[in-house]
Amino acid sequence: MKDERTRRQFIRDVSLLSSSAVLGASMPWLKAMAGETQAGNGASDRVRLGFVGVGDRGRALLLNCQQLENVEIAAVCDNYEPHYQRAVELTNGKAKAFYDYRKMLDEADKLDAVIIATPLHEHAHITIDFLNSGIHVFCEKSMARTLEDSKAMTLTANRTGKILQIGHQRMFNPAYLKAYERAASGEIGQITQIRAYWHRNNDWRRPVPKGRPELERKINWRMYDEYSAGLMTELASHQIQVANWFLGETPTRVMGSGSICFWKDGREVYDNVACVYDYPKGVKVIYDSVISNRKYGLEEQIMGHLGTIEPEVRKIYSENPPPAPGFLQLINNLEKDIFETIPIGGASWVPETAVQYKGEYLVEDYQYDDTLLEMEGFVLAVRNGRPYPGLLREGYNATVAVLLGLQAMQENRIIEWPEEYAWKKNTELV
Amino acid sequence: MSDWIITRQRRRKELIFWGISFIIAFLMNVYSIARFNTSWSELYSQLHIVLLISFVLYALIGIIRLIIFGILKLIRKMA
Repeated sequence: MKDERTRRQFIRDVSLLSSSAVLGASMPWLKAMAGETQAGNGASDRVRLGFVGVGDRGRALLLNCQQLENVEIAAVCDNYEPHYQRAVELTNGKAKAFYDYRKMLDEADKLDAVIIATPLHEHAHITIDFLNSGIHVFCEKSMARTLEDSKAMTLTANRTGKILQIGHQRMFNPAYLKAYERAASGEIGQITQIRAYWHRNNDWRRPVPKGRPELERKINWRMYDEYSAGLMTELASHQIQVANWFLGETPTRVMGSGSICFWKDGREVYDNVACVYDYPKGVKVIYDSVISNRKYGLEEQIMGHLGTIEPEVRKIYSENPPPAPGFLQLINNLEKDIFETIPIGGASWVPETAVQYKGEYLVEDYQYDDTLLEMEGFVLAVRNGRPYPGLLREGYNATVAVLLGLQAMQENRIIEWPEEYAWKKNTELV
Repeated sequence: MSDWIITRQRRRKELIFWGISFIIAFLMNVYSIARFNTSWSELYSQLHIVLLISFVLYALIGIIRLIIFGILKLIRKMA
Protein backbone atom coordinates (compact mmCIF):
# COMPACT_ATOMS: atom_id res chain seq x y z
CA MET A 1 0.00 0.00 0.00
CA LYS A 2 1.41 3.37 -0.90
CA ASP A 3 0.29 5.07 2.29
CA GLU A 4 2.36 2.90 4.57
CA ARG A 5 1.66 5.06 7.61
CA THR A 6 -2.08 4.57 7.19
CA ARG A 7 -1.77 0.82 6.85
CA ARG A 8 0.56 0.45 9.83
CA GLN A 9 -1.72 2.61 11.94
CA PHE A 10 -4.72 0.50 10.99
CA ILE A 11 -2.96 -2.79 11.70
CA ARG A 12 -1.84 -1.39 15.05
CA ASP A 13 -5.41 -0.34 15.86
CA VAL A 14 -6.67 -3.74 14.76
CA SER A 15 -4.14 -5.47 16.99
CA LEU A 16 -5.17 -3.37 19.96
CA LEU A 17 -8.87 -4.01 19.39
CA SER A 18 -8.51 -7.71 18.75
CA SER A 19 -6.43 -8.22 21.89
CA SER A 20 -9.63 -7.80 23.92
CA ALA A 21 -11.13 -11.24 24.60
CA VAL A 22 -14.70 -10.07 23.96
CA LEU A 23 -13.85 -8.31 20.74
CA GLY A 24 -11.58 -11.09 19.57
CA ALA A 25 -14.51 -13.49 19.84
CA SER A 26 -17.01 -11.10 18.24
CA MET A 27 -14.72 -10.02 15.44
CA PRO A 28 -12.59 -13.08 14.70
CA TRP A 29 -11.53 -11.65 11.35
CA LEU A 30 -9.72 -8.85 13.19
CA LYS A 31 -7.85 -11.23 15.41
CA ALA A 32 -6.84 -13.26 12.39
CA MET A 33 -5.87 -10.21 10.37
CA ALA A 34 -3.74 -8.81 13.18
CA GLY A 35 -1.79 -12.06 13.25
CA GLU A 36 -1.34 -12.45 9.49
CA THR A 37 2.07 -12.35 7.91
CA GLN A 38 2.61 -9.20 5.93
CA ALA A 39 3.73 -9.10 2.33
CA GLY A 40 7.26 -10.03 1.52
CA ASN A 41 8.93 -8.95 -1.68
CA GLY A 42 9.58 -12.39 -3.07
CA ALA A 43 7.81 -13.71 -6.13
CA SER A 44 6.18 -16.38 -3.97
CA ASP A 45 4.47 -13.63 -1.99
CA ARG A 46 2.93 -12.11 -5.09
CA VAL A 47 -0.84 -12.47 -5.28
CA ARG A 48 -2.21 -12.73 -8.81
CA LEU A 49 -5.69 -11.30 -9.06
CA GLY A 50 -8.34 -11.50 -11.74
CA PHE A 51 -11.27 -9.11 -12.02
CA VAL A 52 -14.65 -10.19 -13.31
CA GLY A 53 -16.85 -7.17 -13.88
CA VAL A 54 -15.11 -3.83 -14.19
CA GLY A 55 -18.05 -1.45 -14.00
CA ASP A 56 -18.12 1.37 -11.45
CA ARG A 57 -17.55 -0.81 -8.41
CA GLY A 58 -15.16 -3.19 -10.15
CA ARG A 59 -13.10 -0.24 -11.31
CA ALA A 60 -12.92 1.15 -7.76
CA LEU A 61 -11.79 -2.23 -6.43
CA LEU A 62 -9.21 -2.55 -9.19
CA LEU A 63 -7.78 0.89 -8.42
CA ASN A 64 -7.59 -0.06 -4.74
CA CYS A 65 -5.78 -3.31 -5.52
CA GLN A 66 -3.28 -1.45 -7.68
CA GLN A 67 -2.20 0.36 -4.51
CA LEU A 68 -1.39 -2.87 -2.67
CA GLU A 69 2.10 -4.24 -2.33
CA ASN A 70 3.13 -7.26 -4.36
CA VAL A 71 -0.22 -7.67 -6.05
CA GLU A 72 -0.40 -8.38 -9.75
CA ILE A 73 -3.56 -7.70 -11.71
CA ALA A 74 -3.17 -10.70 -13.98
CA ALA A 75 -6.54 -10.80 -15.73
CA VAL A 76 -9.61 -8.68 -16.31
CA CYS A 77 -12.97 -9.65 -17.72
CA ASP A 78 -16.07 -7.75 -18.76
CA ASN A 79 -18.61 -8.51 -21.46
CA TYR A 80 -19.58 -4.87 -21.93
CA GLU A 81 -17.20 -3.31 -24.47
CA PRO A 82 -16.66 0.13 -22.80
CA HIS A 83 -15.88 -1.54 -19.47
CA TYR A 84 -13.63 -4.08 -21.17
CA GLN A 85 -11.67 -1.30 -22.85
CA ARG A 86 -11.47 0.65 -19.61
CA ALA A 87 -10.09 -2.38 -17.79
CA VAL A 88 -7.42 -2.81 -20.48
CA GLU A 89 -6.47 0.86 -20.15
CA LEU A 90 -6.40 0.77 -16.36
CA THR A 91 -3.98 -2.14 -16.44
CA ASN A 92 -1.94 -0.64 -19.32
CA GLY A 93 -2.63 -3.74 -21.35
CA LYS A 94 -0.57 -5.86 -18.96
CA ALA A 95 -3.48 -7.90 -17.67
CA LYS A 96 -4.89 -10.56 -19.93
CA ALA A 97 -8.36 -9.40 -20.97
CA PHE A 98 -11.43 -11.57 -21.49
CA TYR A 99 -15.01 -11.03 -22.56
CA ASP A 100 -16.16 -14.32 -21.06
CA TYR A 101 -15.24 -15.39 -17.55
CA ARG A 102 -15.29 -19.06 -18.61
CA LYS A 103 -12.28 -18.37 -20.83
CA MET A 104 -10.62 -16.85 -17.80
CA LEU A 105 -11.41 -20.02 -15.89
CA ASP A 106 -9.45 -22.00 -18.48
CA GLU A 107 -6.37 -20.14 -17.32
CA ALA A 108 -7.20 -20.42 -13.63
CA ASP A 109 -3.78 -21.82 -12.84
CA LYS A 110 -2.37 -18.35 -13.51
CA LEU A 111 -4.56 -16.81 -10.80
CA ASP A 112 -4.65 -16.95 -7.01
CA ALA A 113 -7.93 -15.13 -6.54
CA VAL A 114 -10.67 -13.26 -8.38
CA ILE A 115 -12.67 -10.18 -7.50
CA ILE A 116 -16.24 -10.42 -8.73
CA ALA A 117 -18.16 -7.17 -9.22
CA THR A 118 -20.75 -8.15 -11.78
CA PRO A 119 -24.51 -7.53 -11.62
CA LEU A 120 -26.01 -9.34 -8.64
CA HIS A 121 -27.73 -12.20 -10.49
CA GLU A 122 -24.37 -13.31 -11.89
CA HIS A 123 -22.53 -13.54 -8.58
CA ALA A 124 -23.49 -17.09 -7.71
CA HIS A 125 -22.56 -19.10 -10.77
CA ILE A 126 -19.32 -17.19 -11.37
CA THR A 127 -18.29 -17.53 -7.72
CA ILE A 128 -19.10 -21.23 -7.64
CA ASP A 129 -17.20 -21.88 -10.87
CA PHE A 130 -14.07 -20.16 -9.57
CA LEU A 131 -14.24 -21.82 -6.15
CA ASN A 132 -14.58 -25.19 -7.85
CA SER A 133 -11.49 -24.34 -9.88
CA GLY A 134 -9.51 -23.80 -6.70
CA ILE A 135 -9.51 -19.99 -6.87
CA HIS A 136 -10.21 -17.77 -3.86
CA VAL A 137 -13.06 -15.31 -4.41
CA PHE A 138 -13.89 -11.83 -3.23
CA CYS A 139 -17.48 -11.16 -4.27
CA GLU A 140 -19.16 -7.81 -3.97
CA LYS A 141 -22.22 -7.55 -1.79
CA SER A 142 -24.90 -8.74 -1.81
CA MET A 143 -24.00 -12.38 -2.17
CA ALA A 144 -26.67 -13.41 -4.63
CA ARG A 145 -30.12 -12.67 -6.01
CA THR A 146 -31.74 -15.68 -4.32
CA LEU A 147 -31.55 -17.50 -1.02
CA GLU A 148 -30.73 -20.75 -2.80
CA ASP A 149 -27.79 -19.19 -4.62
CA SER A 150 -26.45 -17.61 -1.41
CA LYS A 151 -26.53 -20.95 0.34
CA ALA A 152 -24.97 -22.73 -2.63
CA MET A 153 -22.09 -20.24 -2.66
CA THR A 154 -21.48 -20.76 1.05
CA LEU A 155 -21.58 -24.52 0.79
CA THR A 156 -19.17 -24.48 -2.14
CA ALA A 157 -16.72 -22.30 -0.21
CA ASN A 158 -16.90 -24.66 2.76
CA ARG A 159 -16.53 -27.76 0.61
CA THR A 160 -13.57 -26.45 -1.37
CA GLY A 161 -11.90 -24.78 1.62
CA LYS A 162 -11.30 -21.71 -0.51
CA ILE A 163 -11.78 -18.16 0.70
CA LEU A 164 -15.10 -16.52 -0.12
CA GLN A 165 -15.24 -12.98 1.20
CA ILE A 166 -18.23 -10.71 0.64
CA GLY A 167 -17.74 -6.97 0.20
CA HIS A 168 -18.92 -5.52 3.50
CA GLN A 169 -16.22 -2.97 4.10
CA ARG A 170 -17.68 -1.55 7.30
CA MET A 171 -16.12 -4.45 9.17
CA PHE A 172 -12.76 -2.88 8.28
CA ASN A 173 -13.78 0.66 9.07
CA PRO A 174 -12.03 2.09 12.18
CA ALA A 175 -15.10 4.11 13.21
CA TYR A 176 -17.29 1.02 13.10
CA LEU A 177 -14.69 -1.07 14.92
CA LYS A 178 -14.43 1.54 17.64
CA ALA A 179 -18.22 1.85 17.76
CA TYR A 180 -18.47 -1.89 18.22
CA GLU A 181 -15.88 -1.81 20.98
CA ARG A 182 -17.75 0.95 22.84
CA ALA A 183 -21.10 -0.83 22.43
CA ALA A 184 -19.61 -4.16 23.56
CA SER A 185 -18.16 -2.48 26.66
CA GLY A 186 -21.73 -1.64 27.70
CA GLU A 187 -21.31 2.08 27.28
CA ILE A 188 -24.66 2.54 25.52
CA GLY A 189 -26.35 -0.09 27.66
CA GLN A 190 -28.78 -2.64 26.29
CA ILE A 191 -29.38 -2.09 22.59
CA THR A 192 -33.11 -2.23 22.04
CA GLN A 193 -33.48 -0.67 18.63
CA ILE A 194 -31.40 0.15 15.59
CA ARG A 195 -32.83 2.62 13.16
CA ALA A 196 -31.08 2.52 9.81
CA TYR A 197 -31.76 4.43 6.64
CA TRP A 198 -30.22 5.30 3.33
CA HIS A 199 -31.75 8.22 1.46
CA ARG A 200 -30.70 9.55 -1.92
CA ASN A 201 -32.31 11.85 -4.41
CA ASN A 202 -31.64 10.59 -7.88
CA ASP A 203 -33.22 8.17 -10.31
CA TRP A 204 -30.43 5.62 -9.80
CA ARG A 205 -30.12 5.19 -13.55
CA ARG A 206 -27.04 4.99 -15.69
CA PRO A 207 -27.09 6.43 -19.19
CA VAL A 208 -27.74 4.01 -22.02
CA PRO A 209 -25.89 4.80 -25.28
CA LYS A 210 -28.11 6.46 -27.85
CA GLY A 211 -29.60 4.08 -30.39
CA ARG A 212 -28.84 1.03 -28.18
CA PRO A 213 -32.09 0.43 -26.25
CA GLU A 214 -31.27 -3.28 -26.07
CA LEU A 215 -28.58 -2.35 -23.50
CA GLU A 216 -31.09 -0.88 -21.04
CA ARG A 217 -31.49 -4.01 -18.94
CA LYS A 218 -27.77 -4.76 -19.05
CA ILE A 219 -26.72 -1.29 -17.92
CA ASN A 220 -29.59 -0.58 -15.56
CA TRP A 221 -29.78 -4.08 -14.13
CA ARG A 222 -30.49 -2.63 -10.67
CA MET A 223 -33.93 -1.55 -11.92
CA TYR A 224 -35.14 -5.04 -12.76
CA ASP A 225 -36.40 -7.66 -10.41
CA GLU A 226 -34.77 -10.50 -12.34
CA TYR A 227 -31.29 -9.11 -11.67
CA SER A 228 -31.53 -7.20 -8.42
CA ALA A 229 -33.59 -6.69 -5.29
CA GLY A 230 -33.10 -2.93 -5.71
CA LEU A 231 -32.53 -0.86 -2.61
CA MET A 232 -32.49 -3.96 -0.41
CA THR A 233 -29.53 -5.73 -2.00
CA GLU A 234 -27.71 -2.62 -3.18
CA LEU A 235 -27.95 -0.44 -0.06
CA ALA A 236 -29.75 -2.12 2.84
CA SER A 237 -27.45 -5.13 2.93
CA HIS A 238 -24.60 -2.96 4.26
CA GLN A 239 -26.72 -1.65 7.10
CA ILE A 240 -28.46 -4.89 7.98
CA GLN A 241 -25.00 -6.45 8.15
CA VAL A 242 -24.04 -3.77 10.69
CA ALA A 243 -27.20 -4.49 12.67
CA ASN A 244 -26.57 -8.25 12.71
CA TRP A 245 -22.96 -7.66 13.72
CA PHE A 246 -23.73 -5.25 16.57
CA LEU A 247 -26.60 -7.35 17.89
CA GLY A 248 -24.72 -10.63 17.47
CA GLU A 249 -27.91 -12.14 16.12
CA THR A 250 -29.92 -12.54 12.97
CA PRO A 251 -33.57 -11.49 12.65
CA THR A 252 -36.26 -13.97 13.56
CA ARG A 253 -38.81 -12.42 11.21
CA VAL A 254 -39.42 -9.39 9.02
CA MET A 255 -42.36 -7.33 7.89
CA GLY A 256 -42.31 -4.56 5.35
CA SER A 257 -43.84 -2.43 2.69
CA GLY A 258 -42.39 -1.23 -0.57
CA SER A 259 -43.59 0.82 -3.49
CA ILE A 260 -42.61 2.47 -6.72
CA CYS A 261 -43.63 5.84 -5.43
CA PHE A 262 -41.74 8.52 -7.31
CA TRP A 263 -39.63 7.17 -10.18
CA LYS A 264 -42.37 5.71 -12.38
CA ASP A 265 -40.12 5.12 -15.35
CA GLY A 266 -40.67 1.45 -16.07
CA ARG A 267 -38.48 0.15 -13.28
CA GLU A 268 -39.53 -3.00 -11.49
CA VAL A 269 -37.80 -2.51 -8.15
CA TYR A 270 -39.13 -0.35 -5.32
CA ASP A 271 -37.91 3.22 -4.93
CA ASN A 272 -39.36 3.44 -1.43
CA VAL A 273 -38.90 0.64 1.11
CA ALA A 274 -39.58 0.23 4.82
CA CYS A 275 -38.96 -2.92 6.84
CA VAL A 276 -39.14 -3.88 10.49
CA TYR A 277 -36.84 -6.71 11.52
CA ASP A 278 -37.57 -8.58 14.74
CA TYR A 279 -34.54 -9.90 16.58
CA PRO A 280 -34.46 -12.19 19.62
CA LYS A 281 -35.46 -10.65 22.98
CA GLY A 282 -37.75 -8.11 21.36
CA VAL A 283 -35.03 -6.03 19.72
CA LYS A 284 -36.08 -4.23 16.53
CA VAL A 285 -34.23 -2.99 13.50
CA ILE A 286 -36.22 -0.42 11.58
CA TYR A 287 -35.00 0.14 8.06
CA ASP A 288 -36.07 2.51 5.34
CA SER A 289 -34.67 3.75 2.08
CA VAL A 290 -35.91 6.25 -0.49
CA ILE A 291 -34.37 7.78 -3.58
CA SER A 292 -36.46 10.93 -3.74
CA ASN A 293 -35.05 12.87 -0.76
CA ARG A 294 -31.50 13.02 0.56
CA LYS A 295 -31.78 15.32 3.57
CA TYR A 296 -31.01 12.59 6.10
CA GLY A 297 -28.49 10.69 3.95
CA LEU A 298 -27.49 7.42 5.54
CA GLU A 299 -26.95 6.31 9.09
CA GLU A 300 -27.35 3.49 11.53
CA GLN A 301 -28.64 4.82 14.84
CA ILE A 302 -27.73 2.19 17.39
CA MET A 303 -29.83 2.94 20.44
CA GLY A 304 -29.24 1.59 23.92
CA HIS A 305 -30.78 2.64 27.22
CA LEU A 306 -27.58 4.53 28.14
CA GLY A 307 -26.64 6.03 24.82
CA THR A 308 -26.70 6.09 21.04
CA ILE A 309 -24.04 5.47 18.42
CA GLU A 310 -24.10 6.87 14.91
CA PRO A 311 -21.08 5.27 13.24
CA GLU A 312 -21.43 7.02 9.89
CA VAL A 313 -20.78 10.38 11.55
CA ARG A 314 -18.35 8.69 14.00
CA LYS A 315 -20.30 9.81 17.07
CA ILE A 316 -21.47 8.46 20.38
CA TYR A 317 -24.11 10.22 22.50
CA SER A 318 -24.74 9.54 26.15
CA GLU A 319 -28.32 9.61 27.44
CA ASN A 320 -26.92 11.66 30.33
CA PRO A 321 -24.44 13.98 28.69
CA PRO A 322 -21.89 15.72 30.91
CA PRO A 323 -23.27 19.11 32.04
CA ALA A 324 -22.03 22.28 30.41
CA PRO A 325 -19.73 24.43 32.59
CA GLY A 326 -21.73 26.24 35.27
CA PHE A 327 -20.93 29.68 33.86
CA LEU A 328 -22.26 28.75 30.43
CA GLN A 329 -25.41 27.33 32.03
CA LEU A 330 -25.88 30.62 33.87
CA ILE A 331 -25.43 32.64 30.69
CA ASN A 332 -27.79 30.33 28.77
CA ASN A 333 -30.41 30.67 31.49
CA LEU A 334 -30.08 34.46 31.46
CA GLU A 335 -30.35 34.48 27.68
CA LYS A 336 -33.45 32.26 27.82
CA ASP A 337 -35.06 34.43 30.50
CA ILE A 338 -34.52 37.54 28.43
CA PHE A 339 -35.16 36.36 24.88
CA GLU A 340 -37.30 33.23 24.99
CA THR A 341 -40.96 33.52 24.00
CA ILE A 342 -43.26 33.51 27.02
CA PRO A 343 -46.51 31.63 26.36
CA ILE A 344 -49.44 33.52 27.82
CA GLY A 345 -52.18 31.21 26.54
CA GLY A 346 -52.75 28.08 24.50
CA ALA A 347 -51.05 24.72 24.85
CA SER A 348 -48.84 24.25 27.88
CA TRP A 349 -47.31 21.09 26.37
CA VAL A 350 -43.68 21.33 25.28
CA PRO A 351 -42.85 19.08 22.28
CA GLU A 352 -40.26 16.38 23.03
CA THR A 353 -37.98 17.25 20.14
CA ALA A 354 -34.58 15.62 19.66
CA VAL A 355 -31.93 16.11 22.33
CA GLN A 356 -29.51 18.74 21.10
CA TYR A 357 -26.38 17.20 22.67
CA LYS A 358 -23.68 17.04 19.99
CA GLY A 359 -22.01 13.91 21.34
CA GLU A 360 -18.36 12.96 21.16
CA TYR A 361 -16.29 11.52 18.35
CA LEU A 362 -15.54 7.81 18.37
CA VAL A 363 -12.33 8.31 16.44
CA GLU A 364 -10.55 11.35 15.12
CA ASP A 365 -10.87 12.14 11.47
CA TYR A 366 -8.92 9.50 9.60
CA GLN A 367 -7.53 8.89 6.17
CA TYR A 368 -8.45 5.22 6.01
CA ASP A 369 -10.39 4.00 3.01
CA ASP A 370 -12.29 1.02 4.36
CA THR A 371 -12.58 -0.58 0.91
CA LEU A 372 -8.81 -0.36 0.51
CA LEU A 373 -8.31 -1.93 3.94
CA GLU A 374 -10.86 -4.61 3.11
CA MET A 375 -9.00 -5.44 -0.10
CA GLU A 376 -5.73 -5.59 1.76
CA GLY A 377 -7.37 -7.94 4.25
CA PHE A 378 -8.50 -10.18 1.42
CA VAL A 379 -5.09 -10.20 -0.23
CA LEU A 380 -3.47 -11.06 3.11
CA ALA A 381 -5.91 -13.92 3.57
CA VAL A 382 -5.16 -15.20 0.05
CA ARG A 383 -1.42 -14.95 0.66
CA ASN A 384 -1.79 -17.04 3.78
CA GLY A 385 -4.38 -19.35 2.21
CA ARG A 386 -6.89 -19.10 5.06
CA PRO A 387 -10.30 -17.41 5.18
CA TYR A 388 -10.97 -15.04 8.07
CA PRO A 389 -13.47 -16.63 10.41
CA GLY A 390 -16.78 -14.81 10.62
CA LEU A 391 -16.63 -12.77 7.43
CA LEU A 392 -18.56 -15.18 5.23
CA ARG A 393 -21.19 -15.60 7.94
CA GLU A 394 -21.71 -11.83 8.05
CA GLY A 395 -22.09 -11.63 4.28
CA TYR A 396 -24.43 -14.59 4.14
CA ASN A 397 -26.68 -13.44 6.98
CA ALA A 398 -26.95 -9.92 5.58
CA THR A 399 -27.96 -11.23 2.17
CA VAL A 400 -30.55 -13.64 3.57
CA ALA A 401 -32.00 -10.84 5.72
CA VAL A 402 -32.43 -8.39 2.86
CA LEU A 403 -33.88 -11.01 0.54
CA LEU A 404 -36.39 -11.95 3.23
CA GLY A 405 -37.20 -8.26 3.62
CA LEU A 406 -37.94 -8.05 -0.09
CA GLN A 407 -40.09 -11.16 0.11
CA ALA A 408 -42.07 -9.64 3.00
CA MET A 409 -42.73 -6.53 0.94
CA GLN A 410 -43.60 -8.37 -2.26
CA GLU A 411 -45.89 -10.89 -0.57
CA ASN A 412 -47.27 -8.38 1.93
CA ARG A 413 -46.85 -10.71 4.90
CA ILE A 414 -44.58 -11.39 7.84
CA ILE A 415 -41.73 -13.68 6.86
CA GLU A 416 -40.02 -15.90 9.43
CA TRP A 417 -36.32 -16.68 8.93
CA PRO A 418 -36.47 -20.17 7.36
CA GLU A 419 -34.74 -22.91 9.33
CA GLU A 420 -32.91 -24.17 6.26
CA TYR A 421 -31.21 -20.80 5.88
CA ALA A 422 -30.32 -20.30 9.54
CA TRP A 423 -26.56 -20.21 9.92
CA LYS A 424 -26.56 -21.45 13.50
CA LYS A 425 -28.81 -24.41 12.80
CA ASN A 426 -27.03 -25.64 9.69
CA THR A 427 -23.71 -27.16 10.56
CA GLU A 428 -23.05 -27.57 6.85
CA LEU A 429 -23.06 -23.77 6.55
CA VAL A 430 -20.79 -23.05 9.50
CA MET B 1 -7.92 68.94 14.62
CA SER B 2 -7.04 68.82 18.26
CA ASP B 3 -4.93 65.99 19.73
CA TRP B 4 -6.67 63.29 21.71
CA ILE B 5 -4.90 62.75 24.98
CA ILE B 6 -5.63 59.87 27.30
CA THR B 7 -4.29 60.99 30.63
CA ARG B 8 -2.67 58.75 33.20
CA GLN B 9 -5.63 59.25 35.55
CA ARG B 10 -8.04 58.28 32.79
CA ARG B 11 -6.12 55.07 32.06
CA ARG B 12 -6.08 54.24 35.76
CA LYS B 13 -9.80 54.89 36.02
CA GLU B 14 -10.58 52.70 33.02
CA LEU B 15 -8.42 49.90 34.39
CA ILE B 16 -10.29 50.10 37.69
CA PHE B 17 -13.62 49.86 35.83
CA TRP B 18 -12.42 46.85 33.88
CA GLY B 19 -11.01 45.30 37.08
CA ILE B 20 -14.41 45.70 38.73
CA SER B 21 -15.99 44.07 35.67
CA PHE B 22 -13.55 41.17 35.89
CA ILE B 23 -14.24 40.67 39.61
CA ILE B 24 -18.00 40.68 38.94
CA ALA B 25 -17.56 38.12 36.13
CA PHE B 26 -15.33 35.99 38.33
CA LEU B 27 -17.89 36.06 41.14
CA MET B 28 -20.58 35.12 38.63
CA ASN B 29 -18.50 32.06 37.74
CA VAL B 30 -18.17 31.17 41.46
CA TYR B 31 -21.93 31.53 41.83
CA SER B 32 -22.58 29.39 38.72
CA ILE B 33 -20.33 26.59 39.97
CA ALA B 34 -22.14 26.55 43.31
CA ARG B 35 -25.59 26.99 41.74
CA PHE B 36 -25.22 24.24 39.10
CA ASN B 37 -23.02 22.02 41.23
CA THR B 38 -20.24 21.71 38.64
CA SER B 39 -16.52 21.20 39.15
CA TRP B 40 -14.46 23.86 40.97
CA SER B 41 -11.80 23.36 38.34
CA GLU B 42 -14.00 25.61 36.21
CA LEU B 43 -12.58 28.49 38.24
CA TYR B 44 -9.58 28.35 35.92
CA SER B 45 -10.82 26.22 33.01
CA GLN B 46 -13.53 28.79 32.23
CA LEU B 47 -11.29 31.83 32.63
CA HIS B 48 -11.60 32.61 28.92
CA ILE B 49 -15.37 32.97 29.32
CA VAL B 50 -14.86 35.06 32.47
CA LEU B 51 -12.51 37.32 30.52
CA LEU B 52 -15.00 37.64 27.68
CA ILE B 53 -17.85 38.46 30.05
CA SER B 54 -15.66 41.01 31.86
CA PHE B 55 -15.27 42.91 28.59
CA VAL B 56 -19.01 42.70 27.95
CA LEU B 57 -19.65 44.11 31.44
CA TYR B 58 -17.01 46.80 30.92
CA ALA B 59 -18.77 47.81 27.70
CA LEU B 60 -22.16 47.90 29.48
CA ILE B 61 -20.70 50.02 32.27
CA GLY B 62 -19.20 52.28 29.59
CA ILE B 63 -22.65 52.81 28.02
CA ILE B 64 -24.16 53.63 31.43
CA ARG B 65 -21.29 56.06 32.13
CA LEU B 66 -21.83 57.74 28.77
CA ILE B 67 -25.56 58.18 29.48
CA ILE B 68 -24.83 59.64 32.95
CA PHE B 69 -22.17 61.90 31.44
CA GLY B 70 -24.64 63.10 28.80
CA ILE B 71 -27.39 63.81 31.36
CA LEU B 72 -24.99 65.71 33.64
CA LYS B 73 -23.74 67.77 30.73
CA LEU B 74 -27.31 68.60 29.74
CA ILE B 75 -28.18 69.65 33.29
CA ARG B 76 -25.08 71.86 33.46
CA LYS B 77 -25.99 73.48 30.16
CA MET B 78 -29.53 74.20 31.31
CA ALA B 79 -28.39 75.58 34.70
